Amino acid sequence: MSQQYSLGIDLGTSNSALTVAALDDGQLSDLSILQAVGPNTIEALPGLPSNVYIPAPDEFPADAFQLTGHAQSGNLIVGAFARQHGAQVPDRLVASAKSWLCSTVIDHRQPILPWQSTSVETKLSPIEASRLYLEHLAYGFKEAAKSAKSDWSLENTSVVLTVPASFDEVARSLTYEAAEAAGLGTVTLMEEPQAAFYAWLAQAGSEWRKIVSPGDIILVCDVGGGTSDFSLICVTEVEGDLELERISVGEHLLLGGDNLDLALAHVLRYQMEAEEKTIDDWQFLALIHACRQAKETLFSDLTLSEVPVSVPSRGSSLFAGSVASTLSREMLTQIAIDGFLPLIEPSVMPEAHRSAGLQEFGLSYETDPVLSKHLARFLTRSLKNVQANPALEGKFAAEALSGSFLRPTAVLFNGGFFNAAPARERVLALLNQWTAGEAVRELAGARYDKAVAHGAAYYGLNKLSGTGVRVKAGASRSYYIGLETAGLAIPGFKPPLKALCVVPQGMEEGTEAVLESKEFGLITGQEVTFRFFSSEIRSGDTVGTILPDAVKELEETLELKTKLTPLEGHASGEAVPVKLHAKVTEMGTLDLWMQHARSDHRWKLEFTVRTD
Amino acid sequence: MIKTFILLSSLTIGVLAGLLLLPEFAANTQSITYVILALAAISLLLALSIKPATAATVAVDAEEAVDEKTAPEPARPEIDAVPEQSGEVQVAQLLSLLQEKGRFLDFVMDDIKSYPDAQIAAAARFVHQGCQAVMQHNFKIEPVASVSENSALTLDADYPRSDYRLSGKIGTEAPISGTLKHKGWKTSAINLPKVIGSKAEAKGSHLLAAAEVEVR
Repeated sequence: MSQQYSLGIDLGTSNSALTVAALDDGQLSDLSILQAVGPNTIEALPGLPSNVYIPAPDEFPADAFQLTGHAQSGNLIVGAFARQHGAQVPDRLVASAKSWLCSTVIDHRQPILPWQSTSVETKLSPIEASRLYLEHLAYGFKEAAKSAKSDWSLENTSVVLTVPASFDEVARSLTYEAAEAAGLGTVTLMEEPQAAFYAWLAQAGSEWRKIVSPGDIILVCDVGGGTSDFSLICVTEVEGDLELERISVGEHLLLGGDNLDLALAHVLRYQMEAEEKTIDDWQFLALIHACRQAKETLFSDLTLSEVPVSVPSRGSSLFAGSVASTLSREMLTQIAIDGFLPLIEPSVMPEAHRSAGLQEFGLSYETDPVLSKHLARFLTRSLKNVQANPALEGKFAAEALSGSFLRPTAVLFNGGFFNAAPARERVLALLNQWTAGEAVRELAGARYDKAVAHGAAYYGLNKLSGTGVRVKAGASRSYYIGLETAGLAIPGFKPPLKALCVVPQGMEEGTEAVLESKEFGLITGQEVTFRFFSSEIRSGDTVGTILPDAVKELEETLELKTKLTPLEGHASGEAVPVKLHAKVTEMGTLDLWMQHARSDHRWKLEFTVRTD
Repeated sequence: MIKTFILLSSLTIGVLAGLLLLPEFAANTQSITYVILALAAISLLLALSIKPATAATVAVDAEEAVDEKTAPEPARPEIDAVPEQSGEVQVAQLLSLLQEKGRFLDFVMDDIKSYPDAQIAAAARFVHQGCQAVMQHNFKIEPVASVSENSALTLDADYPRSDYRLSGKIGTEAPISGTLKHKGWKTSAINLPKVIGSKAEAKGSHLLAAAEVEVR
């Protein structure tokens, strides 16, 4: 069936959203997602909380979560009720599955979630949890089509799924695989900050050419509930036309608006305790919720100097057990603005990880909650990345490169955190203090909560129609494969692992790179280990670049143990001469082939080879 | 059963309005007014659910004026994958929603006499916030009359009879001119959570809030 619609899926760390766009009129519509809001109760809500609750056997009546037309429903609960109920039963709640996808310390296929749970009988792997969210979103899409009396279906709709820009190739492939397993078919992956930028393009229409000009460097600053993600997009002029290119992406930061709500709740709890009012753990959850609302009220009505915060009693006697306090603007500003976004110097970097020798093993949450420092680090690393490649460097005015960091000229905000005008103003003030030149301006009109799904749907539409503006992106980072050094064995000395660049940064979707000039020995027939590395700040490396010490200069992405079938007539363990082929697919995933130098035979190295 | 609820909430409104007049409650006028408004809205809705035909008749000019002001909400699709909902089940849904989000049942079932105003105010704020969220998310509540209260209002000969209640010297001459004393409330959409499974056909007895047990 021909594709008439485009579905944008914002698969968020804490919340997911859907937007559909029609090819004929270009109209974008946000979809409500049917989900369980209680036992035997369903409702279509604007988003889907990215949580799975794993109930104890017989915790609920058998038919309590049996959603008609939903393949997987029954034993596992996804969405609003999962989050709400699971907050009180954390041992059975799967959360932040997406951040686990890019954790390098675990096996993404092992059932490990809920993390450290002692009561769940059958746990889920991060990839299964992602599949469950996507399956539910597919179900929500189907139901939304029915209730809108539309002919949207997965058969006539092309799906664009967003991932953080900070996701490496492994996390991207795992997401892609989860989408396939969820029945979404072939999806196109796109980076979230880019999607936010596309949403801005969609909304600005043809005006965008007047708002940005050659030489502009646009910082996409995305702070969601649990994660933050930065990207830089530069504007250049090529043959009289404006061209957009994503030139730098940040690291995966487990820091977001939820940290702020939690910080506020802790402060208010101290304040209550000082007044000899005590609250229990259940009330603390209610307090976090109340703090979020109070924060939103104070940020949306700047004339208020304080907002009362009341926490209801756990029991039914509301008058006896409710506790009240107030959140003052002074305190909010002190924590949210001066705490998370202080006006620091651009040379101040986030404090290095953990000082304790022994740590609890888990997601690596940022130990330094100061967003300003993470932003400083990102811009400093971006400059390094640009300077690594003369071709890239040539795109910028000397002024942009003159300092110790790359100077943005405009900012596009995204994520619920920036619904607060004071937070946006502070980021602008910070950047203006750093650049001390022409004012950094805001690309206005963004819808901070919806932009990612919107932009994804809009991008999908552009792909279908073959029209519209495109942001040149390609691979967000360069990829390397570990190379064992040929040479004499020296007792007691292990030579450093070399790294061979197989995919340069910026390699475009649908293109292939072949390293013709060099042959490598590939060991087949016995188990061997491949080590993959990546870097987001080495834009100058090209296919075939060899780095002397992989571990020192790069980040390890994946270690892969595999056994490749030997060629006929070759013994196991023999080194076969091969050439390297790398391809970035149209869908945004990476394929790596080892082409036999003397025949047509080739081996594919899956970035996500199964461990079994 | 619905009539009983309306009766009960009307009584509560009466009592609360009475409280407003007492000097010792002067400090809490605002919280009490909120509760009165919430109760009034619920009574109205319950009344609407008895006679669904009346819900359809709205003041034409008033509706137009309101439509310009309120931006359309994102489409909340009607649910298809669910069995037919009886009115009774939906009323129970509303009560359980108000309880869940705004502790409404706890509020009206608690003994208000024995607590100081400060305690009642603390609870009322929470109840107000939660019940307001339900009104905003699950209904499209709008005033019937768009002019401000205590200002002059003229009703044409064909004004929707059920939307306006007249008092004072009522004559027969159209147009009728008077002062708007209460702007009235209406909802242009009701979107409550839907019940699935065997509970969709429940009659008479309904669970409004489950008892909560913390497992040791």
